[in-house]
Amino acid sequence: MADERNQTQEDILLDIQDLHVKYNTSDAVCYAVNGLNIQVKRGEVFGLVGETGAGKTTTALSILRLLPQRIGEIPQGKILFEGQDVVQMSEDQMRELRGSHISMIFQDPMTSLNPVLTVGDQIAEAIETHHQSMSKEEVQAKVDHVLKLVGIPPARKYEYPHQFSGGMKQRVVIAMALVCEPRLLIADEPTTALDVTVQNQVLDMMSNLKEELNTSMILITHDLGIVCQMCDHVAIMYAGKVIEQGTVYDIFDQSKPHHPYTIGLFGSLPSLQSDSKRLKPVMGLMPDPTDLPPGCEFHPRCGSCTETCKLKAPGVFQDGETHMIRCHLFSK
Amino acid sequence: MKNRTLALILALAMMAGMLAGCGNSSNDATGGGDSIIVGISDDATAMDPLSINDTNTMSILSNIYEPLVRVNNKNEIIPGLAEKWSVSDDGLEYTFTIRKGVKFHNGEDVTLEDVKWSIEAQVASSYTGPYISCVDHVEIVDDSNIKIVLSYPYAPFLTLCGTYTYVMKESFYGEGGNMAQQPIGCGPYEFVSWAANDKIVLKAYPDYFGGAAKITNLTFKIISNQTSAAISLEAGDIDMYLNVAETDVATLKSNSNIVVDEKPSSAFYYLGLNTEDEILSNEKVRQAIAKAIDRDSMVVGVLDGYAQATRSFIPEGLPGYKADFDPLPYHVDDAKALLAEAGYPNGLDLVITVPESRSAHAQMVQADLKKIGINLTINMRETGAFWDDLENGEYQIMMMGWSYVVMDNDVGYYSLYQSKEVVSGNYPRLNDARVDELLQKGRESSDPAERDAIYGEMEEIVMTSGAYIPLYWRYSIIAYNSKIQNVTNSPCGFYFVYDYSWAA
Amino acid sequence: MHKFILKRILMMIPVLLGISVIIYTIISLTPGNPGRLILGERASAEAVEAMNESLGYYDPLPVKYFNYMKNLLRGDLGTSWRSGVSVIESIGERFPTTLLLATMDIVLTAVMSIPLGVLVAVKKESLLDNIMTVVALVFTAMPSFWLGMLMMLVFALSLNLLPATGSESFAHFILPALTMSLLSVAQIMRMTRSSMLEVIRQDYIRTARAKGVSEQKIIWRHAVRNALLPVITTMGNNFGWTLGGSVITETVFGMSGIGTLLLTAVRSKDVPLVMGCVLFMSFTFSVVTLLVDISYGIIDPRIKAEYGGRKG
Repeated sequence: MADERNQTQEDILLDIQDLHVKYNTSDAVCYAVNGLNIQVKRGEVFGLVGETGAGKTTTALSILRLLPQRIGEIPQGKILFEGQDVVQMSEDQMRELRGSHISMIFQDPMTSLNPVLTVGDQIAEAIETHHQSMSKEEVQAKVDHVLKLVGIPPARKYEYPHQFSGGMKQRVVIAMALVCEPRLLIADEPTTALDVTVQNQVLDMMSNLKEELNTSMILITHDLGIVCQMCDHVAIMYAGKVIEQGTVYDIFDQSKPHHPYTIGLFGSLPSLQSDSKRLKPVMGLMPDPTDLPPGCEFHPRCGSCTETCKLKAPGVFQDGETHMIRCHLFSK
Repeated sequence: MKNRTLALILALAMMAGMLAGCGNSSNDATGGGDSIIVGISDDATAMDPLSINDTNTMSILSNIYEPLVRVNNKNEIIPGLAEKWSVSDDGLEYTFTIRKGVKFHNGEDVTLEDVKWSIEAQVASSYTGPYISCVDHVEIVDDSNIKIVLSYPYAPFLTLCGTYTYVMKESFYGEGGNMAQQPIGCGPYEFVSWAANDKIVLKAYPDYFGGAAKITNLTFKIISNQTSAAISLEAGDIDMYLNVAETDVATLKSNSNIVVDEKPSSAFYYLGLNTEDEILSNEKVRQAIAKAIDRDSMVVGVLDGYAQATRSFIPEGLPGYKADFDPLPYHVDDAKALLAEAGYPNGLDLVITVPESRSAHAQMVQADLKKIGINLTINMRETGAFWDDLENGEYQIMMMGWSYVVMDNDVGYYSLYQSKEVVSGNYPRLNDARVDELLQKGRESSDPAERDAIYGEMEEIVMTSGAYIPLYWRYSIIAYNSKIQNVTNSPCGFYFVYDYSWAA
Repeated sequence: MHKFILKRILMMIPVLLGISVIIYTIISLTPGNPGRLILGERASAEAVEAMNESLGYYDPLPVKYFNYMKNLLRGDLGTSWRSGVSVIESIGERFPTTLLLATMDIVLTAVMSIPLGVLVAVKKESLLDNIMTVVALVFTAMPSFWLGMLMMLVFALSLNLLPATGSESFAHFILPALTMSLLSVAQIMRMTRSSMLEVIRQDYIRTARAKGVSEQKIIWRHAVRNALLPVITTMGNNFGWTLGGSVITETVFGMSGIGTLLLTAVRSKDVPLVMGCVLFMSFTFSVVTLLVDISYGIIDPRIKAEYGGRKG
């Protein structure tokens, strides 16, 4: 029993416990993440799904502690990466972590690359930052290698970002993120800005690279097809909380109970067989994060709303070992 | 609020810095030796005496070129290139005995032909010609004498010879010569270099006939901003400044290492009233205006007191000068009465035309005339346009400055009063037969008592007419290192550095 | 790129031609006759007329302009009416002073204002930011002649460190250049600050942070180069202007540059000299803006690509 438990602890790469994030702007305080709990295991792909404003990107930025300076704040919670609390780390420790152990791919490849530096320089910079003893030749060899990995001829490293197409740019961004072989890759909607055909190429490449480098991945996306295709675990976020979480099979299994928001999101009952389906818009709007409703945050938009929902925050309903739902419908 | 406090603190800090600057003035002037740097406010126009006529340039050139005679700072004629001279009884022939063995800076001899050619050239030049138009011709008498024959007797001629008889050589103007940029003369200083609007460098001519100058290196440095020049003088960048601003006098005076010399110059300022104007042709109107002008207030208000109010164009010491001369005394009620007599009991509208630089003066005049019911409009003109207006008679009242090039009544204002000189001085178009007659007599007479009477009478006529309303004599303010000796504030703006030396 | 430069150089021709027409017309139509201004108030009417005649003052405007341009095309800018000195020579004599002054000004401005602008952008809304804003505003609000005098009083008179006036040595240029740059430091610093704040918000800065790049490298390697474009435009324009001479600074510090040359030329209605100065100033200004445009390409490869694109 003790051995098994240790084994599980070892397996968990990232453990976010009761994470709260708020943005202190001059007008109001915005509660972006409100008690988030997720665990990412080694080698797995963890999908983070939700509408815009659900707190997905905030969560990702919190892991790297890249929240906007002076505005973003983590008042409560832990982010344990390999057992160490990222929230408590010094800025120097964080810099060591970023790019080498945890990397991030941002949403828009068009704007993620510095227009005035060559592509090769930008990739090399990631290596130089974390391997200062490496010679110039070694760095360049590594740049060439990673470019090959993402399917770009190394000769193009002397070119500037504007000379690349959107898909190629995203490959560069991925190369940059993977060049130090991080243990965790956070991909924030990596394909949203790309053409559909290019999307699949990039995703395939990411899957292969992940396998090759044994990297865990947090995949933030809107696209249920991608979730279905890539993810092992899925968490559905609403107003800064995980409202349903489970393996990809738990979430996509229509025979299982689901949160009303999940159902709304999927439009019909979700199915593993269905082809890529975008999230269906749910009636109503995401609540104002500066003025969250009392009780269950989803109640103003919920078809099954009761009086309890308006007053009391729902507890966790555990449906089996892996599937969790946060809704009053199931907690009697 | 926070920002404002900060701004205040900073401003105070700067003021403190400035005050510290004023109080603690150090001085390490080039201080003695054989060099002197003279600050001047305007660059020379050219180095060739035949193509200049502004006082500033002439003053610089007086160090390079030698005239037949020089005028010293007591207004006396002393020998120059001519050792001695004589005048015929009819005042028409001036004979000069030229020094022998004098050489130009380039080593060539000064010959009588050179003297003759030079004087003829200066008469012919449209720059200098107007001042010595009395010269009829020049003759070489023998191997040491030269005779200048005038077409009419002209009393100020010798004085003018101090400025308009520089001696050059004709060949200097020929092929390969560049007198405008690289002058050659036979005066106490030879030319070294001229960086336009920056500095003019001269060095003592070792073979000057009067002996080499005590100051070996003479630099004229052009600093047009007067306050900058004052600071430079205090900081020791320059040793002398010839155009000190009124506002800098107090600061400079508080510095014991610096001498400030201020006195009325030969430049006078006046209001000119167009006698051919429909309204101003009435003498009573002009007199009323003259009686309404409060000169003393103007001197204090516009010039900080650095000027001397005057009722006449004759400075003390010249023929015709009367200490208490005041034919149209300041009196507002009398002025009003005169205006009523002239047919304007309810006042009238007039226009004053001035160049931009004199707007403050014009406003004072405007205020004065308002008191007698004249509504004066100020018409500000660019300098060139201003002169066009004056020449064309397209003005009612104007303000103008004039100066004595040399201290002589005739040179001072012949062209102001002479009825034929409407485009070169007599802008009010004064046309008085008696004045013309007196002008002629004055320029031909060399008897001091006679001239005293002539110019006294003339001044009475002119100043009673109200065509000219004298305002003030401008001050000439110079400042220099107290160790420089023999500096004199020249009313006409001529500075002859040969006289100067450093105290041991 | 070469075609672009060539095209820009060709474009200068109509610009300079236009300027020459405008300036020649304006200066010719202003009242005041040059003969009188040159010969002084006592010269006779005949002498003034003869002088004007010899200067071609009485010719009709188109004839005068045509003659001027004919000589100009032969490379002859004429001689000053007042001093008789060749206009090219006059300009050539003064340009080194103006060039050195303008260069020192721009270098000092860049050295002071860009690091400061970056610093206050990084320390946005800190005490330092506020202090620098106020200091900058104070300097901007100062009239240049007053600041010049102040510098002279402090550094030349009180501390006796530097010469007050003149342009003989390098030391003479320090105070005027410092005065000029202090006046523009505020502008450039504020511009750098806002441009930096804009750039720091960009995604690629976040990307660099996510790579673990140090804050210093992020600012100097990633942000500043991108933030400099608008700053360089403004500084380039300022440089173009100061190459045309800065009348006030030159006057205050008793320096002999293009600014005072033009000023005296305008005052004495010295047409060839005014024309020469203005055309020279327009020319240098055009050259400087061209250089600024070329420097864009060096800083931002996207713009270089754009020039290249125009080839076709």
